[in-house]
Amino acid sequence: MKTNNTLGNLQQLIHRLKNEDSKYARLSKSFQILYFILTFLFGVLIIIHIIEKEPLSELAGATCFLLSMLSYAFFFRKYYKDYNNVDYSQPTLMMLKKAAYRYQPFQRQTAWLIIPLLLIDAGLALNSSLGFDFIKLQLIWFGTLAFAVCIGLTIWYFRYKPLHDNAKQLIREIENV
Amino acid sequence: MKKEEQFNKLVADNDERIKRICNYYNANKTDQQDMYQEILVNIWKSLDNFRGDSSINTWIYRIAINTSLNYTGKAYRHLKVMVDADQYNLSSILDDQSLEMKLLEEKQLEQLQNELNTLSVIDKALISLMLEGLTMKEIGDVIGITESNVKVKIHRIKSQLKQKMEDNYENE
Repeated sequence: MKTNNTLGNLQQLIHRLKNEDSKYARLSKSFQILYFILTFLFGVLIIIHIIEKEPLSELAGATCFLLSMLSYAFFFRKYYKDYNNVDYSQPTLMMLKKAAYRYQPFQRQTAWLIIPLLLIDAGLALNSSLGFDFIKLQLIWFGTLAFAVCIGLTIWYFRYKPLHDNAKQLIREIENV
Repeated sequence: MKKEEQFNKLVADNDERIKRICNYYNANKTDQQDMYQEILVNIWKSLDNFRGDSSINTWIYRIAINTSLNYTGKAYRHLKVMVDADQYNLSSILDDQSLEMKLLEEKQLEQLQNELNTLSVIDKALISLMLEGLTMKEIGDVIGITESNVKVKIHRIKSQLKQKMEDNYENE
């Protein structure tokens, strides 16, 4: 009876895990598809700009948008892989070091995200049809980014800093002989 | 072999081992079951990365210990190492058979339990692997440190525990 129960629970668990796997896979795919659709749309926009012989700045602006969407599509793919495939079968010290890196507020790989952000800014500035004032645009854009960073850091402080500190402390403990 | 079949086989082969690890860390049945489930979830998640570079035992222990550390983050205050005089060879902790005999008295076993629970999370992990009968090299492979580092750490934990137990015994 007990064995049957255990087997039943295990089958339930497998079912749940498989659902979880496919849910993440679907979510990841949806985001990638969204970014690739946006990339395609900007590609079409570039072709229209070329056909209609619009000013070079418009073409450059659309290209900046296209490149930023493309970058996000690839970044998202990599981030998804890194964050959702935590391998618990690594040696403890290695796993903790990776966790400490993952939970730090600024990472080297995050710096690459600045490039698509600058590309969007360039796209907005170059696209004269949008009619943004350059200085005002920079103030609003970088102001919004600074605000987003502040919110991100607050979330990090309360949600991820304890995990980061805990991992760091365990690393010190293991390495301290 | 399909992932599901591989998972079923792994769990069936290592069920007792995983349950023992859970028992070391939780006195409470519900907590043991929660941790057991969490270990199974992590086995499933890590299964795609298993390439046979390490032995299956080391692989399972790594997942169990890493899960227990993660579990620590969630329920740090409740985490306790539980040892049972009937099941485990206590002399492996204390290197002292006469002290082990004294420990068989319930009160002293309780004292050992208390002393074990004053250890740091990593020291608890090392002790639980030692109680599982892993060699120093295997423990090193699980934790990710050298065999000599494991020896130094375990020697220090044992001396610490032995000293405390002797002090307690003399004070009574």
